[in-house]
Amino acid sequence: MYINYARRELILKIVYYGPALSGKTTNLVQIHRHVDPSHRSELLSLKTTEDRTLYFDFLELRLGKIVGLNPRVQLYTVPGQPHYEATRRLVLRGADGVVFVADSQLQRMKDNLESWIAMRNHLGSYGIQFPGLPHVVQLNKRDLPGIVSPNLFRRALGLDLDEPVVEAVAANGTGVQAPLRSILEEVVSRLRQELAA
Amino acid sequence: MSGNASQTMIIGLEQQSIIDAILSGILGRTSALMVALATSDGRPVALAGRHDGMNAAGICALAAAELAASQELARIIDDQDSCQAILREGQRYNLLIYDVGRSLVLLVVAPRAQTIGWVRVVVRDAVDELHKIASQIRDWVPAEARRAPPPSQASIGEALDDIWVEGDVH
Repeated sequence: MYINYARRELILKIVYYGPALSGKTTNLVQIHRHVDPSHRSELLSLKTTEDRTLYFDFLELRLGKIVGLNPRVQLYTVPGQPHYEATRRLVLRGADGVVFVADSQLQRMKDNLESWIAMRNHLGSYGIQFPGLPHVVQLNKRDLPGIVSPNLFRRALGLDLDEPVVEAVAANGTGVQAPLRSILEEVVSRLRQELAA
Repeated sequence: MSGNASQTMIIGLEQQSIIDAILSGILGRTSALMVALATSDGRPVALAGRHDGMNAAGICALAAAELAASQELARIIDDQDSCQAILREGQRYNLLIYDVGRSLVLLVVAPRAQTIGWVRVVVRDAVDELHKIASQIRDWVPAEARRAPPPSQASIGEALDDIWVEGDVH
């Protein structure tokens, strides 16, 4: 987390993590669409020639002033394709919170699980013991056939009941704001605890 | 991108004033178009020079990512401490990205006409000064942080609601 009292800024870094084609970039595209241009940056994407994420997507939101601070929320995605593991680890560095974007389809459960475990390992390499970092799981693509139930998904990933899971169809904007709101609240709660200590 | 993802960096008025002076010094001595200081995970700390209309947050994110990727390459080939700076020579501008004590990243956009050697000399001196500040930032919580608590959970959620528009803004 980063607070600059001279510039009255609180800057938070949120990373959208998950397996390939789960909808991470789609989340940022939808957020970009639903936020007034005066309150956000342009969406910056480093893509391959096949239009897949190469390094990361980046979008900054500028929220209105709260208790004298101007919160700026920096949203990153990681590249989902398996061979970009090293890049995913880099993007996670310094994250204040993670939105894990999972693909709800049963046939993608193995990919979800592998991505979830890899994320925890990467965070562990930075000294973050999961679930110590604020996180929200977004169960995306709920409009597709052959999807797993949230309960089954929780069991598969070993999630406790107090770990937030949000159902979404990011392609049409459903369930995009809720996980973002939830992760911001978690992160700010953590910051307050940290400064009070 | 700090080594510990949960580390909080807090900058106070006094530190910001010193940082701004150092960046202005680089600007003046190198005729740089722009100088930016960011945290190593890409959050803007200070900007000097011409950056109006630019996506400053994006620039800082990219500079930090570039340096992080380079450092990761060095780590993979087991040469971790050798890559402290990156130079990109362009047609109009040269980009220099410097690691400042692993917690900050300095980006200098200098005109091609300015000799790289001179820019490097100036920037290295500045990096040393910034390194001292970075060390203080790690160990010090300014009084402002105690006087002004961060936003509450509810207020940050409401602030997001305030900028969220149902329907497409385009």
